[in-house]
Amino acid sequence: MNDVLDRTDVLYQAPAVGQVAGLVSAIRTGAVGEAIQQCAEFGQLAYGYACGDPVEVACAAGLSWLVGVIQPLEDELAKVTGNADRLREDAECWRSIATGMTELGTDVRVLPDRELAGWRGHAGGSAAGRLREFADGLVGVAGEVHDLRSVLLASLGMFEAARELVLDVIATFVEWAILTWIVAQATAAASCGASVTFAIARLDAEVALATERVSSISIRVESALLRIGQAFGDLLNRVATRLPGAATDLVGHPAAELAGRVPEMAAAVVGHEAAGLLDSATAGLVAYGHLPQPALLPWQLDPDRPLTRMR
Amino acid sequence: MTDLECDPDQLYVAAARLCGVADSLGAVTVRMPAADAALWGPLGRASGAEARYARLAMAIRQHADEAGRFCDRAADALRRAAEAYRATELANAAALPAGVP
Repeated sequence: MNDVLDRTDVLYQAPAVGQVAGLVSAIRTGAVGEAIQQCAEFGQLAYGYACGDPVEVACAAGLSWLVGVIQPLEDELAKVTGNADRLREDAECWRSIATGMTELGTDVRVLPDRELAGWRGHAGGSAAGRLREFADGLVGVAGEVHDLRSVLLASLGMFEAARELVLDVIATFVEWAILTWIVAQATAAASCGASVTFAIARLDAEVALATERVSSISIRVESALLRIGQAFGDLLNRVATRLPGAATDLVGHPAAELAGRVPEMAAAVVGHEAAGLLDSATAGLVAYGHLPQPALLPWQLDPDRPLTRMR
Repeated sequence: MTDLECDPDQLYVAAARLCGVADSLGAVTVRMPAADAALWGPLGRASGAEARYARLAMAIRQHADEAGRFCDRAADALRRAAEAYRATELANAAALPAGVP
């Protein structure tokens, strides 16, 4: 079993693993980095294992009866294999989304310095602060999406490596069976059938060994998937705290409740806006010794700040 | 420039920019991948990776939606502020005693 799992150490030469290893350096600490590292380590072990479909090989060699023996191994293969193509597609989607969110965050961040540069006073400063905070949140979520993409890429590398490992175990088994069976058949007459009996006895031992190897691979994949799940949980918590006013635990909050906080956030902007409006109106009018309240009353934007406070 | 703390036209421009950002966020949300049960295989399902991935994808989508709504509401607030500034300026001008420059 150890032969299968500890054969190589050419991390940066493996096509899929080299890609993952490059990503690791860009990942921050925490569960995300650990998950990707574990995927990379798993992929490292799989380098050099590539073969065709062993079932086809067995059938072509006239050993179709072996398929029944191989079937449990094939079932294990299905367990350790995710949908690598879809993972790759999702990773590409998340890449474009992260890029888009970063660009939008940049656009919002420059807004106070460009379009709102002339907005002075309490309201202007407050609005600029809120917009910068919001922009930071957008860029932060984009960073988490980048990490999510990295985990997906590492996962698909692991799935491909696991698939190659299991296929190699099956192929090795089929190869052994073909050779052993040919020799047993050829010497059956001379040995009065003893060679065939011996081959059948060895078959059981080889099947057990192959099953043990594949089970070991399954355990490694399962362990890596647990790490990946933890990484997703870590990312989930980080995403939940990115936007201003967001809850710390997004999972426990339905969409309606999240949506309900938006007016609060916007109301904060409106409230500051009203305060600034009143301050500016006060400053402008007091300078002339007039307070034309009838003209201002329709614009009471903030009920908590009645215009009468200006007196 | 007005005698207030802001040129209302600036706020209208900023509101338009925020509306553009909200529209772009909507386009981003459309591109987000949907959770696929076959993505992680049986072991991925058993280990919880699949479910957590689905929740994470949903959380990011919710954030994008929430961010879009925030932009819309902030744009509305800026427009209302612009209207209020403009009205205040007009009121100021109307209240000035005759002869004051």
